[in-house]
Amino acid sequence: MNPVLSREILERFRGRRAALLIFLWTLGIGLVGYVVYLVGQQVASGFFGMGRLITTGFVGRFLFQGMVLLMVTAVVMVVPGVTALTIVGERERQTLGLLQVTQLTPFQLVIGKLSSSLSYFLLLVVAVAPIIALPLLFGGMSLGDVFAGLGMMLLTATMVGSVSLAISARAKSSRGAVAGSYAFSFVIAFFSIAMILAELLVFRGSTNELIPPRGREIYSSWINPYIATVDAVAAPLALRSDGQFTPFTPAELLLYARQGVNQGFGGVAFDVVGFGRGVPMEGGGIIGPVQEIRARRGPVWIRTVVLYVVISGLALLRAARTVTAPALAPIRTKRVKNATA
Amino acid sequence: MIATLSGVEKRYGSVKALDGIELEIPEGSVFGLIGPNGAGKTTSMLVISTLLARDAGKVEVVGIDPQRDPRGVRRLLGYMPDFFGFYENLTASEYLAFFAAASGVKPAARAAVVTDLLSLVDLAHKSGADVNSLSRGMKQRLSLARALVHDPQLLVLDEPASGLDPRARVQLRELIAELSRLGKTVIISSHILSELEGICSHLAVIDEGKVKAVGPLDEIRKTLTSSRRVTARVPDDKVDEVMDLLGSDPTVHEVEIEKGRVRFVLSGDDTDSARLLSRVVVAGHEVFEWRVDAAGLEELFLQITAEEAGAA
Repeated sequence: MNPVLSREILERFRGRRAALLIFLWTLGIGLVGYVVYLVGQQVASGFFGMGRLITTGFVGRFLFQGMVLLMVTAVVMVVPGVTALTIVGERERQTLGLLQVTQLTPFQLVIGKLSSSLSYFLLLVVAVAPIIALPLLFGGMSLGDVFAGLGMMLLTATMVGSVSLAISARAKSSRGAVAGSYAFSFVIAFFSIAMILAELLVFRGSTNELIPPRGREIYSSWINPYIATVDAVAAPLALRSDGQFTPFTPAELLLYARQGVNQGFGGVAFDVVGFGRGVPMEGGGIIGPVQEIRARRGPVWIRTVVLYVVISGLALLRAARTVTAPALAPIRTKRVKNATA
Repeated sequence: MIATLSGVEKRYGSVKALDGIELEIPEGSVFGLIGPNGAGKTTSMLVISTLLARDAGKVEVVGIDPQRDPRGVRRLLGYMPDFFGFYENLTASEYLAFFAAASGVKPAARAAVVTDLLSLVDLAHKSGADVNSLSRGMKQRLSLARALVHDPQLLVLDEPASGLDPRARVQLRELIAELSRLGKTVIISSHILSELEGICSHLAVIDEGKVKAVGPLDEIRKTLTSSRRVTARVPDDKVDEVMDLLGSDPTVHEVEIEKGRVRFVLSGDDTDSARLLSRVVVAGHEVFEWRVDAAGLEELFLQITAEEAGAA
């Protein structure tokens, strides 16, 4: 086991503070889950003529989607906090030099730090696993959906953690590291949504025209963890057939827009799409009561996975390079002009 | 030689921290680096300890260039910086076990290494104590134990006694002497010269990034000490006569009476001292005490730096 990981686990989980934090976290997730359940029930009860079984399935899916988004939000909010201080903290308590003169390689040091942050986050996930698993009792989603959600969440946590680590390695102070890590996290999670909307507005214009088949990709959609998770979990083009509002709906609408489909809330008014001649779409299935569509573009989540893996790798390399001693790059020196010369 | 530095230069921006440092550190020695704050002691130690890249020159530690193969050097080197670096919520034994693991000590051997080291630094009774609860002296000894977890040949100790109370200093000095007896080579720095008195076998005086003097301590003393202070105790009624007798010798200067003793500066070696003593005795005076004080490190340092200043 990586010595840094085992030491950090020992340090993190010792004392009452860790237990109290986990208790509060579980309580908070439980409460939010209950609120999502109540909202789901309310939405389901508004259905006209829907059978009890279908309603239960809908509530299950509603709750599941709510929990998935909640977990992605937890990644965005928690991972930078637990990772940002890892290396700058070593520097501030003057232990980084002590680690650098051991047999640990810079990469071992960085991986130890990342895995300790991720293991802490995983513990938080495991602590609320029974709450997250509740929707399975209601039905409405498959185990595949659960694994897809977990996978995207872990990848997002790894990417955010890696970048936070690189920021932590370069930061001069813990305040700077925390600010930088949260800034990055918020940009990919929230600011990127504004970027997606801006891209859609610029490339679709106000005339509400469809994106032409060879039209430009909405690149900012690749970076957003919510969009990627919804895309991976729900295969939205297939799942929107009931046309009801669920926690995934806003992300689904953006995914529709990326495909060139215009669909308002309520999901009943499809634009005329006419893509091909009913060729089966990616993700499978047929959508809409009258129209067949197929995806013009491949799934976002695959692009996001590739992008996140590349970003994580680069960030970890950067962090490892920063903690390498002696510094790999020669230190630049200023030439001092001789005053008498 | 266990470590050599040849023409080593290091700049921090426009400041030249090392300006062609030349050092040869013999195996098994306790090598003192002395100099004022900012002289380049810590920078030299960081370069030796693989933590800092030099700008120019050659460095070899146990035959390895620390910049080319830092891990190779780290296997054989223990480094103790001039600050404490501790983790919260770890006990003394957990702290050492962590560094033993990080230094590549095999899992099966770690517990024994930790126990032995805690005994060596006299902290066995604090094995389960939180590191933060230890006194400054204990922390310093724990820090020394940390540097020893992988049984290095060479120990680099940067200002190890700074901030310690007299008792803790004595303990640390004894510990370093013990390590020397165990065959370790120790490089130790301080700007408080009395700390190194009695521990070092070799010495380098560094100032403004340059080595001003280097070699075995006794040799430096011999080379540099052209005069020594002598104190003689004779019967009270003979003090004036002895003073006149000594004052007439050309090798004797600055004769004075202090607390009933005759004190003077002798420009000469041990033979001159013996000749003077013989003169006093032959003249029929009883001599109760004849003490020749060798120059202390502080005196040597002042002399070396004063010569440099004079030469400049």
